Amino acid sequence: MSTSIKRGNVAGWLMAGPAFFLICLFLILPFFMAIWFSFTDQRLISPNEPEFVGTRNYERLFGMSLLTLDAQTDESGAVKMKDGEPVYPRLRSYTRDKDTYPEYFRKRQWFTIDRSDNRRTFVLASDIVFLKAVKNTLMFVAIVAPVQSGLALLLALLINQKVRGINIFRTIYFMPVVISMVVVSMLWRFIYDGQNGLLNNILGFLSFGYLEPVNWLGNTATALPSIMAMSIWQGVGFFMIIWLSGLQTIPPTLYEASRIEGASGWQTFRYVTWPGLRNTAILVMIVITMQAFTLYPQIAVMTSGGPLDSTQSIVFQMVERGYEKQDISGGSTISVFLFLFVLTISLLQGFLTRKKS
Amino acid sequence: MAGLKLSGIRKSFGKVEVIKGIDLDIEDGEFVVFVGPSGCGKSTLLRLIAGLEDITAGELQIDGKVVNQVEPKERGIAMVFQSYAIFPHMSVRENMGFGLTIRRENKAQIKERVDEAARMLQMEDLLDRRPDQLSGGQRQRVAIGRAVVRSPDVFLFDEPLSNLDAALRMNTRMEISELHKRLGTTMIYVTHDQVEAMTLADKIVVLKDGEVQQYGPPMDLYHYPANRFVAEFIGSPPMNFLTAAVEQQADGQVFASADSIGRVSLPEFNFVKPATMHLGLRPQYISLGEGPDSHHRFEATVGVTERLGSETLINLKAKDGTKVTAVLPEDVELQADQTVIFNFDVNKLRVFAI
Ligand SMILES: Nc1ncnc2c1ncn2[C@@H]1O[C@H](COP(=O)(O)OP(=O)(O)OP(=O)(O)O)[C@@H](O)[C@H]1O
Ligand SMILES: [Mg+2]
Repeated sequence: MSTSIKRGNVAGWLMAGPAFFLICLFLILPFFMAIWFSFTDQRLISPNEPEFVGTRNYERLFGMSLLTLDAQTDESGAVKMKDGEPVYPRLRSYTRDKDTYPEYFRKRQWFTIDRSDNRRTFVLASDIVFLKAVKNTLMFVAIVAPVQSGLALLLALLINQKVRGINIFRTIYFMPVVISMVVVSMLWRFIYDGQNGLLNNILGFLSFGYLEPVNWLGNTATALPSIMAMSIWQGVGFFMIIWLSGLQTIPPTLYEASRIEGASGWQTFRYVTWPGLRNTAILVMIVITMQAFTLYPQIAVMTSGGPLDSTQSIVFQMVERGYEKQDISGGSTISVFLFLFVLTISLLQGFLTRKKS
Repeated sequence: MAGLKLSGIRKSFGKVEVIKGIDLDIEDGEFVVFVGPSGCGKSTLLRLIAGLEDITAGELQIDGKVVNQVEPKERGIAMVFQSYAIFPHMSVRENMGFGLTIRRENKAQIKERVDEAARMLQMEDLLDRRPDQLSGGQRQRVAIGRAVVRSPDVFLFDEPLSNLDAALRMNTRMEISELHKRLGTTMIYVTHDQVEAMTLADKIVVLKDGEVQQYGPPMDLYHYPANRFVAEFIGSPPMNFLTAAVEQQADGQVFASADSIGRVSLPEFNFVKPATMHLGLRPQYISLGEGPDSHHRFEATVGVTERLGSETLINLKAKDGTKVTAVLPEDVELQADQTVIFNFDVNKLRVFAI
């Protein structure tokens, strides 16, 4: 008996072996390599041996300083004005002077805060593009996660009905999910086209030519929202199916009981449906958040981070550094940051939604 | 408080007709049990009354008003489901007060009504628990409590006891019976268990394939079953059936001749046409020995003996091999394969067409 178990074990390992080997090679090993690279100056292709650099990569990503300056004054002591704005000393004199101001060296202005007494605080950062990418990604998550999950729930409620032909609707809503995001992005580039795009045509037609065509992806104000809208559309079907599976675990007799008790549609949702979807909601929220954080193909295909870095994203920056700029240690640093960040958020979500007993 | 009147009720799911024209009069305050084999349409009929399914044809009146098109909540009914259907994320108190909560009754009144119902069902100590902290019997009690709190005109029960074990089923059955006595409300109760039907009902409706086989008080159904189906369904163990040729003698007396038990006179019948029919004889009416002279006697071979404590079931084989069950007193001793004489009162025989 014991020999057969042992033999079964060997055979089992042999069968699991190839998959186990591949998982180690392509998932587990790179994971630890990325952590290691983030502490070196490893480049993608380089004749030099990489060196351990401590936390330098992280400092470069997150290096930030505040610099508060007084407005310049003329001889009389009055504030110098130009175009109705007070004039401040040139930042270059601070950021290029390594010896006097090492803390500002090579940093650039991210944004400024005006004080009341003709003083201005300059927020300087060593990697503005990365910080913009973080900000854009957070915005993307903050809008896409709730809107996409809410819309998906709405669709799921609509198609969770015993109506003839309901499967056609389920299929239609699910269709974008099975199309690759790259293909979807290419298609939507045409839809968003600034001249003859489908969206501009439709808006023009519906407003009888009143609305001017908008260059949706070429405009800093509309580029990120456009990508958000498309991403929501593409992924909504997937989460609709997950909600639907949650809805179908709710026993129909609960609905019948609440109907007999006289609950309205909204009351039924509030007292029966939503409590029954608790676990599904946690799953959807965590998956949708993690997915939104990895925003990449849309950006790569549609805007490459532009215009003016208004659509930079964390993962896009990661790929750009690691491969375009061959700075694999910089890319690894970003990926380690993303990992820790998403992990923290997931743990937080898990903690906040834990079952209270 | 309300009576019900069903006239020509029909229900089809697609092309399949499940309820095939049912006429019933249920009086105010009556306890009526729908009983029948699985799939006969009991639940469907109850759901039609509740308004959970649309009536295909016919008319349903509750308290004199036609309610075919009326929403369930307006029908003055409360329903208790086999699967309890209590809301898993609400406490017992919230569950019981649910109907009042969504009607936005004031809190004090909800509390009062829930407390009163809980007292009646002796479940005050459960009020703050959650459903997953309750046993099956307690859950069903919560469901009944929720119905009581609504103070409906008609209670509907769909096999409320079938998920409970035997002892609990008996207890809860008695509680439901007491509840009916106390409230005096009309109750309609679905079950496939004829014991439940017999013990609870003022009147029983026996259903088969979506049609009423018989409607009447339990003992009427027991003593005078309208057809072989009812005879077999009501009473346990089921009635014995013997094939016999029935004919009328020149003097007008009716006799049945069966290969199994011989020639029996049927004093209650004045028959006309000779035919082959089934004689029905309840196992309880068979006794051991010769019996009084007016009784009919027959010989049979003893088979398996089953002792139930208060009574003993004996499986017999009549002369022609027909199997007959007899219910005899507790301590009776019979050897297997022994041939013994039994007797029964001919007035207890029932005759059914084949
Ligand atoms: N929604 C439905 N669609 C189609 N057929 C149905 C539907 N509901 C019930 N039926 C059919 O109607 C018949 C009666 O069902 P019903 O549930 O009333 O039986 P029942 O007497 O309650 O049986 P049980 O004792 O098993 O609960 C069954 O043949 C069932 O398949
Ligand atoms: Mg049923």
